Amino acid sequence: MSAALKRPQPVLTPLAEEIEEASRFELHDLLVALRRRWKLIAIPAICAPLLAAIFAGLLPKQYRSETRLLVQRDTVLNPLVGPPTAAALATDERLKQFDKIIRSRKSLLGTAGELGFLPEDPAQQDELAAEIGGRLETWAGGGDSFLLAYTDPDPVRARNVTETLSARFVDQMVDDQIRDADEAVKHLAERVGGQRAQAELERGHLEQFEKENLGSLPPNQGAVIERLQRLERELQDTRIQLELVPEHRRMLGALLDETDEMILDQERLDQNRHPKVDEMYALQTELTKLLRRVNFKHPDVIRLQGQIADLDAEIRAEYSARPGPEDRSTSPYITRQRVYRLNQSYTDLQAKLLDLLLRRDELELQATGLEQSLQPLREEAGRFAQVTAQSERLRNLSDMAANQRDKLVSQHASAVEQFEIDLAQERNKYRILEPARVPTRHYKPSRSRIAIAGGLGGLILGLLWAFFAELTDPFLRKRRDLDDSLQGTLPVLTRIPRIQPRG
Amino acid sequence: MTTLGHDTETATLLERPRGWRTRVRGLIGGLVGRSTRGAYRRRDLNLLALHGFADRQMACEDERVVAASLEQFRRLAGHVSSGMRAGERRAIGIASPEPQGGATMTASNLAATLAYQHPGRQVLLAELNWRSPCLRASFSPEDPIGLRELLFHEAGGVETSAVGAMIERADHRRATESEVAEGLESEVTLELGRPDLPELYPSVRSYLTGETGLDELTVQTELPNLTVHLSGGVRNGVVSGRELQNLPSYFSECQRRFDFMIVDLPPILPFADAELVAPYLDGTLLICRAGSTRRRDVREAVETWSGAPLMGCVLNDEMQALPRWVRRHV
Repeated sequence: MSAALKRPQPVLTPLAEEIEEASRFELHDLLVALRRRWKLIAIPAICAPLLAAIFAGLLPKQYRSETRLLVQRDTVLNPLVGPPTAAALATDERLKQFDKIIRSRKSLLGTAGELGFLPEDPAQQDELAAEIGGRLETWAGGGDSFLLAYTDPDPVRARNVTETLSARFVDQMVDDQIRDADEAVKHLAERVGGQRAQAELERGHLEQFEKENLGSLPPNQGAVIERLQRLERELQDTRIQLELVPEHRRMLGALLDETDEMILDQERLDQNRHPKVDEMYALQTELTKLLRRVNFKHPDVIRLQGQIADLDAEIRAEYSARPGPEDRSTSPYITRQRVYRLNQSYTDLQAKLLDLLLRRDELELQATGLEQSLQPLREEAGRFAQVTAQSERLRNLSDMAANQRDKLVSQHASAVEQFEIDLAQERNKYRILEPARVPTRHYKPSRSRIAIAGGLGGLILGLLWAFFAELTDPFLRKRRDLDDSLQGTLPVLTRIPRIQPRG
Repeated sequence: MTTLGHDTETATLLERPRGWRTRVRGLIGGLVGRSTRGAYRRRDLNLLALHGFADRQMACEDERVVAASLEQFRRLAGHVSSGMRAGERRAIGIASPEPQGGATMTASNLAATLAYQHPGRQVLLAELNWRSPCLRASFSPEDPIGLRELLFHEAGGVETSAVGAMIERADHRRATESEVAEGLESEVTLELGRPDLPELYPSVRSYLTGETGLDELTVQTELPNLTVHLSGGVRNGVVSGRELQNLPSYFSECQRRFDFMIVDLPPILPFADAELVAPYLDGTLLICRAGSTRRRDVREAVETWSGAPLMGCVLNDEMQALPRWVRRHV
């Protein structure tokens, strides 16, 4: 025998690294465990779907009928987010709103009543509404459509409920829109009526005012007014003439002063006047006298005119030959003419002034009389003006009310027209795209789904079973188990893999 | 001395693995009219090293696993022969805590590996596991004792009427021998467990009882330096006092003739036979089978072992992470 092998073997204590290595879980261990426990995993995973399918076959069948409704979008999208997100949000909101409408107690019980299975007991009605609501499903379809489905053991009833609910929903939505538009029209009609009453009231006020006020005015209102206007004009003229008297007096004084100066000049010039001037004056006087008797073609007249012209030219030539600036005003010949004309003017003014002075008192009397006669007329005219203004104001108010009424009537007509258009549009907005049909195949229980769920459950159960079996496994499975069992007292020399027969 | 071969067609009841799986598989195989491959597995595995090193085609596993197994046996052989001086001889016991631990498979393959690794040295594979001997199936020559002969053994005058009736029924429906063996395994085992059955072939038991000499029980394999001693033990697993008295002489004689003596021991925990043999050994290898050996059995075996020093443990039948059909493509 070998002495070397007779010696007791040293106890091998595993190092910390080896213990850590041994306690580490590896993919290899998982694969080995799965391979070892595949039956525990496979049996539940296979049996559970079969059992689930059998169980699904025993469950009562449920039929589901669907309908697709078109609801065109009319809401304003949220501007804070992008168009796709806003559209999705709007769709969600609309779906919630529609779902709420469809699941309302009124809709559900109305449907039940329409289909003839509405109980009379309110408690049973509540239960029925809850049951129908629980079997209802709504979800968004593509575009502006959304779907409504109802599940029931009876396929015909499922179709009927779906059909009735969808029809009621569409009618309700259209009715809501009609009611909104109708309320707007009614509101306008009420306003028109109010304005019409207001116009009538204003017109009544006007008529009443005119009846009360215009009746007290004199009947010959136009003559009074005409006379008043005429007197007013006369009074105005009289006042103007009265105002002209001082002016004429001042002008007369000025002319008188000028005439006096001219007369003084004439006297001064007469002392140095040309000798032929008197001769020419005599000729002119003769000519004047002659012209009173004969016409201007008389030879004497022509002769006298020739003599006068010669004398005048002679006088003018003599005056023009005199030294110093020519002063026509100081010319005795001209001055005399001017004095003559001034005298004429003075005479006229004096006559006019005398006339004015004479008429002054008369005018003043006339003005006073006019003032006295105008006073009642003015009062009458003032009252008449007030009445007229009030009447005008009332007339304006009446016209405004009538205009407002006409405007509202026009708006009402437009609203009615728009209402008709909206009604037609709303009827197109809400409609049933795909009507509900009687389902030919049951919807629940879905054997495939239940079998898949059963398979998944069985798989999970099998995994848990395998995990539990691994935890409670008393047998050695791997090197780590052997190391744990030996606890370092004995080395593991080698590991021989499992050898399986071919095939 | 007879030379044992590896004829797979001469299967006997003794080599068949027991257990409900094997029985069910056998029954199903019998019903469908085909033999089960698992029945031959143990015998093939015992010859793994013998065939593997000879590059023979084996009906078991893909080449990579076989090569890995052979490497492990080489490694184990290296442990056994490490530090061995010239002229030194070693007797190594191979035992498992519980039955079905793979001790016989490890012992036979270790012996064959040593024989290949040390062609100048004589290697003996001694089967002292007379509780459940099975080496005969692997190293059996043309077995003169078939199933019928075994069951109707005239020399021992065995009462086999019940078993015979079963075989008659099997013959009536033209069943194959393997089907009969599968279906009647328990009954046959019961019959073979009778204490009055004689040894059917030369074995260590017969040597220990003085019925045969050492040369007669030697079974030479196709490797010239590998010799097999079969244990016998079909009569009764209990070792008598007379046999124990002859045990030292058996070991001394064997160690005189062989450089390596690989002893297949009975399970440690259920039987005390291993500890009776242990004093004559230089060391013992504890064989644990993955999925079959309990953890507490390993601890208990290590704690209660009082024989030759335990050299180490071998983890046998360790499962691969991937199945063969996956490994084939990886």
